[in-house]
Amino acid sequence: MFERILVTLDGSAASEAALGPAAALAERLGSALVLLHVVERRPPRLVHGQAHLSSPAEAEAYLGRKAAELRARGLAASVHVHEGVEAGTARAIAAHSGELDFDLAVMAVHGGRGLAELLSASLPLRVAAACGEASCADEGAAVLVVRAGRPLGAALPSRIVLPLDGSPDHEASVPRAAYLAKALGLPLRLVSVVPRHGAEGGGPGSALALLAPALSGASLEYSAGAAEAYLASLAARLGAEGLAVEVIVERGRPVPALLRLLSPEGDLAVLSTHRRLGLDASLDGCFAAGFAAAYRGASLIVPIAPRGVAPTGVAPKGAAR
Amino acid sequence: MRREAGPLKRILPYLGPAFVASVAYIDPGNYATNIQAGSEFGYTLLWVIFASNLIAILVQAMAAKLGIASGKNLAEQCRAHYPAWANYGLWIMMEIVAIATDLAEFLGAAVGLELLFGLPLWIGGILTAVATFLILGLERYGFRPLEAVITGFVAVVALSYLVETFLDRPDWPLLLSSFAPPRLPGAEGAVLAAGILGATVMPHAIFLHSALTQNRLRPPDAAGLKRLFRFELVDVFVAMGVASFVNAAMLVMAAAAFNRHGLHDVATLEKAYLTLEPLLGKGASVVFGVSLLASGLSSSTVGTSAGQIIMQGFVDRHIPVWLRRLITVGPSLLVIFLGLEPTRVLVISQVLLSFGLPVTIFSLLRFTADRRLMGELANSRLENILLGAAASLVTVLNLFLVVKLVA
Repeated sequence: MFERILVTLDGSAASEAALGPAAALAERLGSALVLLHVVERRPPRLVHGQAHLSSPAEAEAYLGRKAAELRARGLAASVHVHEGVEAGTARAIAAHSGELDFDLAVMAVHGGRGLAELLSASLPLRVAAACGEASCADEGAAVLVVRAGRPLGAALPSRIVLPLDGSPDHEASVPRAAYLAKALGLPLRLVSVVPRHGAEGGGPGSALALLAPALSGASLEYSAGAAEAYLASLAARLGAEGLAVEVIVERGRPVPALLRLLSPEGDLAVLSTHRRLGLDASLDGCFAAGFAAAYRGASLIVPIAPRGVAPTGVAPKGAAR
Repeated sequence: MRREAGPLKRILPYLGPAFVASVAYIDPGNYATNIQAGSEFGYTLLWVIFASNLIAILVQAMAAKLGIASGKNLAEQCRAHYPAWANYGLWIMMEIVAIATDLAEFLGAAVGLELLFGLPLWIGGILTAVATFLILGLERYGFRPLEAVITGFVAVVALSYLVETFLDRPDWPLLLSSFAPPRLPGAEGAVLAAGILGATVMPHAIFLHSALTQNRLRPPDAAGLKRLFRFELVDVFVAMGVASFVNAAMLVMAAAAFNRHGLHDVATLEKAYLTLEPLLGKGASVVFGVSLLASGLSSSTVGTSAGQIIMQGFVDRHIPVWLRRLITVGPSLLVIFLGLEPTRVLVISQVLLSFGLPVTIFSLLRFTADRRLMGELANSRLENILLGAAASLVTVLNLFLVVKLVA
């Protein structure tokens, strides 16, 4: 797992915030790094007030310098410049999953986008969604999102937080969280947030709470109790693998409650996504979209495999390198 | 040592919310059908309101039981058991039902704006469209204060009708005579009866109820599932029970305000506030207008969610919520721009809903009677008989309506 780590750069200092965590992970995991720039058909001159790469030649030179710096640290680093993007940057990045054989992409986002995030998902979320489609590899590459200007502690997290709701789909994040916790020697915190009442979850839950509040409330009460049992069972399984695990079950609105339990400086949140994006995800009460927009720390987004593709657990991609 | 709370004490905290939920069952479709039925036929169709509510209680309880016991909603069960052509046919029918539902909510809210601010209906329609999109976004954050405001206004109207009914001292013997024997006065009576039925039983609410416990952890044992089902019974009995009395009160007051004075054909939503003047005086139009607006907007979430569940269940497709809203807003705005009489359109939309009921209820009967799907929560013989009778009654009413209209 995470044998080849992709880092997307656009020439700005903001995007270079991804290099630190990527390099730190590569050192600890023995991974190779691939630096990628996707040249848009009409690239902007500036991004967030900083110079943006505008030509393939410029991109090659820039990535070459960065790769040299990484090699000087003893890391394996290669570069790739993709020209003539037609289908959108996110899809272009995801499409390289096969060619460049990466299973982790590290991307930096600049600050919070607020309302814009609700209307149109950030690039990392779109990349994760694209990586999760059937055209990509079986498990889909995960995307590590770091915030420019808010470095991930000393480039590596101090704890891994895994929000879960008991659904088998969302357990897609467990293998990768467990792998990182083991490889980096980090404690694992399993969190489940059960809404206090039906309307807190958003989406159809609001309508259902309106029509059937007693059943909605009773169902959530049961869910809270069941969540504790579920997390305890999972914690026991992970503990048997040698991981230090703690369990927390909270009641309330899922995203704010989880944010209260996280420290942006040191916590890496690992969450899975059904790949719904933007306004659709916001209106449908999609947890991953809402959390990704609000959390100021680093998060690892794991795409849930499309139906019919069973997750295979920990499986190194491609041939031995 | 603490004793475990008895059954009543466990349910008590939920009674209040269940009362509040009754407001969700009073939407502009109910306003229109009740007001028209009372003004045209006096108390004659009162029995339809109570019969519809009894059917609604039964059907919604069974729908919730299906979801609780089987883990799949009604649309998903149809997809699992019916051939593809049947599922596509049912899906298209239910999408038409969903559009009719949205039409009613839309028009009601637009008429509410007209009453409050004197806005032309087409401007009210556009404002309503914007408001429903905003509400979709606010619901994402569980905006409780907004819900409380909406609930409050509709509750004021509901309580007003109940209080008025008793203050007005209706002709109780005449009122009770509508039940014995129950009758349908001609084609128009059948139309209104079908409209009341559609407005009360609401096919989309059946699908929604069957999805109540989806995406949540469910008890693995029969005892836990039965316990959840008991809470659903609290919901439907309390909420639908209160709603039935409110709907009946609306009909009775419309009979008093219009029919008793020989005004059989003037009852429209724009004039319906007159039924509240005896209690609320000059404020009647404002209160009625706000409640109409509020009930229309609050119902929009229900309709949209039901549409998503129906599409996902029947044909395993998902469209963005905002796109669904946009699609269903289109016909509603078209009706407004065509200048059709809103109250009549509202009634017709509820009649359309009633045509979605027979196949829905028969499907519900088929699945809830299946012990392989339902386990210990499978229907008893009595439940099968009652559900079958309800489906048959609805089917006969629809056929009667078709025959009368054709004739």
